[in-house]
Amino acid sequence: MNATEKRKSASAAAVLLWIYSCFTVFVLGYLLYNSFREKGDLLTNTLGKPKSLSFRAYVDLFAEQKFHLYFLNSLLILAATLLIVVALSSMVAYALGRYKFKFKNALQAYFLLGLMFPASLGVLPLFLLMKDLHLLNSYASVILVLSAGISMPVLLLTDFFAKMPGEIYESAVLDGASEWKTFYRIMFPLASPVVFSICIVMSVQIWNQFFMPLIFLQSDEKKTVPLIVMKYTSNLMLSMDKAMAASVVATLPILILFMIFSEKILDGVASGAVKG
Amino acid sequence: MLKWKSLMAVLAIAALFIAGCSQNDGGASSPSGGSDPSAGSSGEKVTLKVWGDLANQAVLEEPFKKINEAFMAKHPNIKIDYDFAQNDDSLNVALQANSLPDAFFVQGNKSTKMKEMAKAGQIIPLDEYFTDADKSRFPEEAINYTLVDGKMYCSIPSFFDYAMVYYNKDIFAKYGLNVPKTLDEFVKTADTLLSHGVTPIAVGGNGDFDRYWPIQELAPGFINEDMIALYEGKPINEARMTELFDTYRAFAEKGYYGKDFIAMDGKAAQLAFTSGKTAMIFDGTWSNSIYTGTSLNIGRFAMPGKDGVRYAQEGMNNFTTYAVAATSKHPKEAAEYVKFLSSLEAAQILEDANGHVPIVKDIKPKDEIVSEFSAFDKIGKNIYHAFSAAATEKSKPQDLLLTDILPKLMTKKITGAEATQLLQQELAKK
Amino acid sequence: MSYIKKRPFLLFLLPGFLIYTLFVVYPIVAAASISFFRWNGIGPKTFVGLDNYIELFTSSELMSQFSNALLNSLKIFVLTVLIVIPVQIVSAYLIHNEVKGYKFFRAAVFSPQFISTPVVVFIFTLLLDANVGLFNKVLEWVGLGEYVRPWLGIPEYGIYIVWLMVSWSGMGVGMIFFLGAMKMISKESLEAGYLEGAGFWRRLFSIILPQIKVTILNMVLISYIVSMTIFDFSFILGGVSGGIDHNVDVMALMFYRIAFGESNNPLGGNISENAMGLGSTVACVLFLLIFFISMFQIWLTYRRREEGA
Repeated sequence: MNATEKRKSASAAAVLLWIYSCFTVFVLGYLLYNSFREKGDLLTNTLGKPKSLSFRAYVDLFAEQKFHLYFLNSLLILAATLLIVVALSSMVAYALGRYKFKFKNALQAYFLLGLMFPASLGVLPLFLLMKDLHLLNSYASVILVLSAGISMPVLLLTDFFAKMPGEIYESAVLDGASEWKTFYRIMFPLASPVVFSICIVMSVQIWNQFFMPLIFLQSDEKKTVPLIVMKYTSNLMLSMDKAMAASVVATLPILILFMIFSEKILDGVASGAVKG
Repeated sequence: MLKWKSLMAVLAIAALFIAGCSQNDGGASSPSGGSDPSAGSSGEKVTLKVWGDLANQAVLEEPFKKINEAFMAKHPNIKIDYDFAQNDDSLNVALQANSLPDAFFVQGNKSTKMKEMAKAGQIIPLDEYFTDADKSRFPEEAINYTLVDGKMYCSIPSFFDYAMVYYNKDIFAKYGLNVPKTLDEFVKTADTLLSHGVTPIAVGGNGDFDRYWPIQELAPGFINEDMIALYEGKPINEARMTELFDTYRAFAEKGYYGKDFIAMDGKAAQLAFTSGKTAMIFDGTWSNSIYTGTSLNIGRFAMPGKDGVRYAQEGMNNFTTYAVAATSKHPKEAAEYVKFLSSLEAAQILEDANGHVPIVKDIKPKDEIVSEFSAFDKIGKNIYHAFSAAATEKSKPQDLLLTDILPKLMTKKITGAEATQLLQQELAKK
Repeated sequence: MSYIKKRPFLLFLLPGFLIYTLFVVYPIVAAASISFFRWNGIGPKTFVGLDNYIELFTSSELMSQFSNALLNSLKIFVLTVLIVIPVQIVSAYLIHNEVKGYKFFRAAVFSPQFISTPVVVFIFTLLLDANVGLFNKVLEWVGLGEYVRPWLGIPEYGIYIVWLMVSWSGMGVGMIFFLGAMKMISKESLEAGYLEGAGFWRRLFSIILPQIKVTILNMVLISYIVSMTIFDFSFILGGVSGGIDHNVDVMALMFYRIAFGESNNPLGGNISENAMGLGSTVACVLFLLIFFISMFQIWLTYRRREEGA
């Protein structure tokens, strides 16, 4: 690998990327900075020097609003949903990618339907279903509904499983491994970069969900983080200091998750398995 | 990686386990219809599930905590399980799934939703719980707000909101201006500010409702009788309507709103006012906390008409108007709670917290700002509600006003007379 | 049992299929059936067959809103495909090559995705507002004061501002997917490229792009679906009617307006007599639009793959 060549050619594009990244960080920094300002100051003196900075909005969030409770609720739902989504979607994608059978194309289209219809219309039949199952106001209802959102993961994973070289598969069968073992121990780990990409994106989507938790979780102690943020963004001009502080705190956990997952993506796949 | 996956698996299983356990919580979080069926109404413990307004949770949390505590102190056998779980979506789902809580907030006769719910038998009439003594405190408009076909379906509102003018006292003082007492004085004030290069009024020309406040404030001074006529299905006086529309257009034409108001929305208008760029803003009592939070010296006045009468407009405050679901297993207790929300005690708690404008005389105002709000002479009709009252499935004058007439007047595309013609055509569509 | 043994894919499919069908497909079918009724959401329903559809397509008012919203949604789609996707690919490639500072880029580009949409709109307000926006202040400082504008409100620019917000917020998503796809390309094909002396960009075009082609096409598909279903930004920026002259109106907002919009304003409003019925109809038409174009895109994708493989 020619190191200097890599640096030179990449530099033009990299410079643009630098500019974009710095711009983004600056904007987010501006948000963070504003979250420390008093509301009145923000309104009258938006572009000027603030008279004072305070942590008040943040203190309120934890002391009065018990943000940490909502945080745990969100975390619970996220962990459970993520696991189920990854399990279900990778299995379905594996079936659609590696096997040939009669209704395969129809099924692939079938699994895409979920993305095409607004959730707000379909919520009534779901609500009645959950009512019959006596799952209303329980975490399980939200987890089940969100776990069913496998359309995008299936779409993206199917192609990867399809493209995997047949040699691995055959050598596993020769070694006497069952279908399930082949999937679980060999093929699925090989897809890990894409799986982690999906984890990141789905995590953000699940974490920021407010509609389903609003409908299915009615008691205050079960609510999720987006509902707290929404409390302040409903009337932004009235409570913008709290809204910004809530936004900042709400995004921190996801940021950490993102760091963990992106490292895993870069860990990547040992190409040794492919050669073997 | 395997260890990490096992951790996730453990977490997920734990999550489902906790999820399963949580539904066995018992009465308080039981989902359908809400209350504990085994307790009777003979004084045993009853739990009521009540839904509050999610969109306004930020301002309602504290006062309602106190209100609920006060109620429970008075009624030791009733426990209130109050959640800010209600917005349009969750209410619709609850209505359609027959899963309403015992009590929830409604918008009264501001919209047709309460009427529809009453007609469909989803909320119960409350007349038997309100004695004449209870009702006598309130003016007629407040009681009318709760009526469908002559029966009361929600608690009576204690406050109302209206649109008026907030002004920057320092800017006014700088140019020696006083609070205008008639429409002519208002125009002179605006002209003076213009001549000094100050933008007189901030208006969001971009939003449907943001560009509407000026006309809501001007309307009672010009067409109050015509608005009443619309409620009664009678024809309007075209000359007066045209004068109103012409005045609305003139304000924009003369440059009262500044250079780029068409591109500003409500928030931008508010920001323009709070950063001192304009002297006044058309806004409502509901936005008061935005302005009190700034360090500006702010005053308020109700828009005066030609004759110097200062008009507020009708607009009941929904923070205390609640209805009782027909599916409630404890209608008597739920009605007691709803009735309590109309009481002086509950209203005073809300007043002390937020400083609303009371329509009942015995509520003590929170501070002088509320007195400023209460300094109007008459409550005029609300033009949006009047137009809505004249609407049918085919004819929607209120939508015509917001999305057609007002933007066209603001951008000088039509005259007042043409606007009146458009309105007449729409009204004739019945 | 041997039926299943011969078809192991059935076992892989079954759990996902069951949950998906129960919690996603069944609600869609149930909700779609409402489009054949006349219903305001509260009272009784009346069956009217295809009347709602006829009403939608013969009402000139509705049709003009429909085509305007469709045009806006398509503008977002085309801009995303032409600009955002290439940027995502190049960014992913730079990060894949572990260019200096790549960890910083990765986090920075993705971070706007975490922020909730009202706050994103508020950030853009802080930047682009006519009076207190930072951008206008900067213009003044560098002497370009005459270009100061109320950026957020100009009707012609409205939809492009929405696109900016959508893109800024969603830039990281595509980038992460492309990154994952690039990681799956075997090291040998890349090494072969180095050995041949291929430069940075040639490696991208001749080796990487062909191998992530399906991912690219999938992202195009997802961009299409997203542009037809995105709602939040237009709603916050323009309200229920989608701004002056419906300039920021998009398909999902129009649906919302018909189904829920009329009774959802600060002054009350009347519920339309057929809100849910007509709303479901718009949702179904929207669904069919998305469905058929998506199927077409997928057919293109897989046909190419069979030829190329």
